[in-house]
Amino acid sequence: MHEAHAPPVALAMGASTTKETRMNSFFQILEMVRPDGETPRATPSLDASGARRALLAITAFLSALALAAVWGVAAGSVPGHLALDNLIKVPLLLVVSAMAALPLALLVHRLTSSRGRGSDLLIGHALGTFVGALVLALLAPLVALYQHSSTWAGPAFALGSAFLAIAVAFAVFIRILGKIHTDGPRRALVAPAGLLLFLQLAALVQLASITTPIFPQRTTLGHGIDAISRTDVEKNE
Amino acid sequence: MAHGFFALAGCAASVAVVALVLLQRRLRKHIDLEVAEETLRRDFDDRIEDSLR
Repeated sequence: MHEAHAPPVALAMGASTTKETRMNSFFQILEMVRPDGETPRATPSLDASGARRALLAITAFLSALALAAVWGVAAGSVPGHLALDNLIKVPLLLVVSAMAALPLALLVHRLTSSRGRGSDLLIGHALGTFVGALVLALLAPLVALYQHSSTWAGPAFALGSAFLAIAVAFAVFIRILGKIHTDGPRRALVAPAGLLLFLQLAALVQLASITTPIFPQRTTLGHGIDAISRTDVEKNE
Repeated sequence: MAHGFFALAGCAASVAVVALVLLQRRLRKHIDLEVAEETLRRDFDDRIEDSLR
């Protein structure tokens, strides 16, 4: 029963709805990235309306940008304005690399998968990015500490945290896709998911090479594809 | 050349982020309306049920 017949419009259009929607999206994201236990919990957002799925993906991706910015500040926490640069640069790298990778992955998904929606791939990617960025943000205090206190361990630790975040993001991406595709063959997802990872990493590394370094010194990965051929790098230096 | 490309990519990324934020706001309003509609429908059903008793 509804509570004491309060004015329905007031109940329905209460000021708290937007805040509730925002909180619900956040908790749904955290709920969805959990593994299925012995008794699988309902994952309400996976079969929700298009608007809810889109909101979830956008909220996850925008949150990921904010979290990545936190890591960027930590990675650049050396004397100078590197931290401030990284506040913009790291989220920017994430956005541009996603923009470079997603359209082609969506096309490949459309061409190779008879079932499933393109938004499945978008949700998986957004949630994977969110969890990866969350790992980065949680490691940010340690990254900042090492950057401050050690010239050789700082960049290595920061780079390690980035690799860990990429691994976690990919694992979550695969988990979410597995949760969404319960009826069709999962191997149909291998091509778009693998391609998405490859393209995003390729774009990320190359973009990092054409911008100013994120760390105080440019790392091997910071040379982009030229790092494969050391002679090219040496020629440029 | 590379810096020009990065500046262009930066502009594209900024536009994309602004578009995402605006889209997020629209979607939130849309979902709030959906929730409101559902609440109204439930309340209406309850009132009908009560009046029938």
